[in-house]
Amino acid sequence: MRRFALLTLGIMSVGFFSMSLVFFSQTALAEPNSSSDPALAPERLAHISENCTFIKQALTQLQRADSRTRTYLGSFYETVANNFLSPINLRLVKNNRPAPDLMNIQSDFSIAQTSFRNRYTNYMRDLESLIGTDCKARPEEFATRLNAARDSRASLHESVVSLNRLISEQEAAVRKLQESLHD
Amino acid sequence: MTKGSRNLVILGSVACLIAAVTTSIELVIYRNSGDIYLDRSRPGFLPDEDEVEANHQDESTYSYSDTGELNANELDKYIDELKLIETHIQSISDPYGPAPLSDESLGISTAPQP
Repeated sequence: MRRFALLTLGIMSVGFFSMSLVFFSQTALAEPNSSSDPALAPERLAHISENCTFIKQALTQLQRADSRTRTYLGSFYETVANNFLSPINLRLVKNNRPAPDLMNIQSDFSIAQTSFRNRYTNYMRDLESLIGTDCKARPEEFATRLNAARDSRASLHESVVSLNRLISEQEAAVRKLQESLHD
Repeated sequence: MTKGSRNLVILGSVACLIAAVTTSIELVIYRNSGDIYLDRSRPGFLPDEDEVEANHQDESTYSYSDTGELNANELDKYIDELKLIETHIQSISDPYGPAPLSDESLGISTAPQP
């Protein structure tokens, strides 16, 4: 019985220790470094504090809109990858006409899709962290997190531009293939 | 309470505690990894049903077959369907552009008002 109680105590200790490690790392990594941010002008911070409610509403709406956009774009990118890029390359290989440029586009598209997912995750994490910050009481921290969210949003935007460019390249490459069939 | 029933209660409590701890750790990892944002943006997890219906209307059902001989007419159809998808994608103006997070959009601009 005594051994059982000691075992129980040991398991509880390990559990609480693990939980505290996880939560501690989450908190430590989340703390922004605001000391060197040049955008922390007192006027700007005052505006942030005054308009906190409006800002939070705008950010919440933006979060929902961005989630819908990611679903909309994500589903089309999946369709392009599965119904356009992959089958045409398979068919070309089966017809002994592998096209290196089409294969490169497929490979680049797959990499770009993964990048899009990762960047979206990072951006959503930053946005949620921003929304969770009290802009009335801590406008400095809010301004710093806003900069981080802007950076990750810009990075996500680049991903979308890359994916859309690859789809255009695919169209051009298939046109070229079509012309070669006419020859 | 007998010794056996007391041990059973303790065993049940420990089992519940272990389940609670491991589930909590799992949820924290799920959140930290970012998968929660991907899952929340999947169709069916959107907050409004009418948004899901709107998305389904634009979905493409076309799929290029990966078997058969190469055919210029089929490639015509391929290009047309791909252009349709491009049109749907481009219907979203400046996705994830900088405007919504600008100071002006958020109402924190310090520029003088005209």
